[in-house]
Amino acid sequence: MSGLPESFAAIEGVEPARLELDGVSKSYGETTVLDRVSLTVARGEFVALVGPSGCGKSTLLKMVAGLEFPDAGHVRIAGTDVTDVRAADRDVAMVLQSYALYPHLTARQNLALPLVMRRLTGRQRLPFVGRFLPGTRAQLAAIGADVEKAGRALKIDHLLDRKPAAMSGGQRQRVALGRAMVRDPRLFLMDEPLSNLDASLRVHTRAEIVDLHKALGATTVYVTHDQEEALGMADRVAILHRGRLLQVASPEIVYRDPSRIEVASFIGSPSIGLIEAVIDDRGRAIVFDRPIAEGFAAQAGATVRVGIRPEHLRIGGHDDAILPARLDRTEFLGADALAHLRLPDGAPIVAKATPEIYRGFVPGPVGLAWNAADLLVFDAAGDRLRPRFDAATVTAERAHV
Amino acid sequence: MSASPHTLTPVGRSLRLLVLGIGAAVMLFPYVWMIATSFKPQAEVFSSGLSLIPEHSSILANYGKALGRIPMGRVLLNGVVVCLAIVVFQIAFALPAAYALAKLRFRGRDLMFGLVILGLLIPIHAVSIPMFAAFRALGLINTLAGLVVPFTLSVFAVFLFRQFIKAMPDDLIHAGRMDGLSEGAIVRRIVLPNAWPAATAFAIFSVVTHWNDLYWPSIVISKTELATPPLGVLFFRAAEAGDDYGALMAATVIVTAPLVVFFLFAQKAFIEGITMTGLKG
Ligand SMILES: Nc1ncnc2c1ncn2[C@@H]1O[C@H](COP(=O)(O)OP(=O)(O)O)[C@@H](O)[C@H]1O
Ligand SMILES: [Mg+2]
Repeated sequence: MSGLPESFAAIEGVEPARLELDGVSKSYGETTVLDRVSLTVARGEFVALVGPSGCGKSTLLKMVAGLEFPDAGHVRIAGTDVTDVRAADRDVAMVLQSYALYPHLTARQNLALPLVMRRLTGRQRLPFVGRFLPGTRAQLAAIGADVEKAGRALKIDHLLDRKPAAMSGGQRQRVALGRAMVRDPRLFLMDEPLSNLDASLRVHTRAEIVDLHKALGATTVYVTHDQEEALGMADRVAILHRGRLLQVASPEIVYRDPSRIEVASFIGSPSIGLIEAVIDDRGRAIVFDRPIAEGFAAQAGATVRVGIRPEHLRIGGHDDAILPARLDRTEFLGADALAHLRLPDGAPIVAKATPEIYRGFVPGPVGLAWNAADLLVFDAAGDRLRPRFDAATVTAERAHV
Repeated sequence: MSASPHTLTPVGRSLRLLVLGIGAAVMLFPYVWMIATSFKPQAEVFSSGLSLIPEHSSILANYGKALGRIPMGRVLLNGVVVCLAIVVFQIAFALPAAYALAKLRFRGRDLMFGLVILGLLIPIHAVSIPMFAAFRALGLINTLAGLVVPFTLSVFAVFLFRQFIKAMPDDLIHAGRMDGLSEGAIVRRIVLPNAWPAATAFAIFSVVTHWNDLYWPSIVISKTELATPPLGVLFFRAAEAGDDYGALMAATVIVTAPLVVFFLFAQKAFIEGITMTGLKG
């Protein structure tokens, strides 16, 4: 829909690079910002690094870029250890969260600067004199042409002679994208490039960045705090929480099969409902004296947290209910609707379905039901507990209660 | 602005103009009197009447003396060369230092910045005797270089630029590094253009200070042809035996005129600079 692929086919891409982070740690004084992070991004892959604000995403990205240096661990790009190599020598491009366009230069000059720095020699870059050295003119002409081409591809050609102050947020974002992309990076880093755009522009630009990645084929690490963005755009999602990488997997896997409770909580909107339960001597999870899941090897008396996604929570009559609850209100969202509920102890939980299903629901007592196979159960430490055998028998168990 | 709640009534506005006008007149009077005196013959200068307009003009005689007795063109040129050299070196040295103090992390950085602050507290008068001794040993007495060298490292400039650069976003520097700029190139291509308001403000302060400076030039220079403008006036008075006030004032007018003209042209930058740096008075 954006027409980017054709326009960019003309730009010769360099070999995309493989990126390896190996036990990378970083502290500022007492605070550990990153704790032994290891991550491999394959050549040409698009990995989204996602996590709540302040979890260390930007710090990790800066370490890949060479703007920060790890206290321990290694960074390898295309097989070469670059842990101590400065940013200028890494040949990595980055779109910064604030865009950081040079305010004193026009968009054209902003786009040209990285090319000037890389393609001209130190002497050719000298003011006045450099222009007359052999080869300078040809190089400058080639740079000008490449800038024009990138400008056309990103549809910013009409902005090229403006300074950043005279552009809208969306236009600045495109220029920042252009500046990073114009030099065919082998590794492309983006730090929340859409967070400063309004909602409609964000969805549109999201699609464009995915198209751009397909066209350029550059290895891409994309940082965002928006889990929806991460799920929608990336080949794989890496979830960072308090400086630790919790899980790296495809969007489907991190959603359906999270390995940690923080992953389950962070991914999905509205977020997963969590019910505290106790394991009894038969390996069943008990809530309000009712078994709601079974087959756990955990010790009797251990506390577990049972997670259930809003779309897996069914609201029905009292007869087939696993747990009683109270419906507070329903919320119409268009294609979906939400039901805000309270468990017997007053804890809130949310269910999601199509609006038709909730039509006619009135606040009051209801029963909650689900398929045992959809439950995600975590132990007290937050690690995933998997039932030893098919939990379909829970229904049978309930008959006895 | 015009619709702000601080808009004054016509009476209030007249009152404000009156007060400002009186203040301006008091401040300007000595300068105007100096110009008037430079037009008057000797007899009128010492007359008891208080008149701004001379009865007999003595302009040609006074200004002729001022331009003739000492090489006034040379003196003004010295002033321009010295001030320009000082300000160029000051910015060239202070900007990279300020950048390092503001944006780089290295051992001893805070200590060094402490030393810069300490440097602000030491007036040139405190160190002028050892410096004079050193300059004589180096053969810098009675040279223009001797006028320039002590001021090329300005701790004030380092301090001012450091504060200004500190306020620049880190991401701007990061973008430069990603784009392949060395630290030197970052200072030249990114920091300098964006620190231009601070650099202009500082340049104006520096030029005004060193154009008007009499203290250090009177220590290192004893030859008329190397004199800076204020020292030139001093030499002129010595040459004129001191009581030809008409001619002396003419010389003073010539010496101060370039700064006045410079101010009139750079008025906007000057005022912006003062408000920007928060320095007043
Ligand atoms: N230069 C620094 N000095 C001290 N603390 C820092 C510095 N940079 C980042 N931090 C801290 O590291 C943590 C992670 O920051 P950051 O990587 O920017 O998070 P994110 O990008 O995920 O929001 C934050 O708590 C932040 O306060
Ligand atoms: Mg961040």
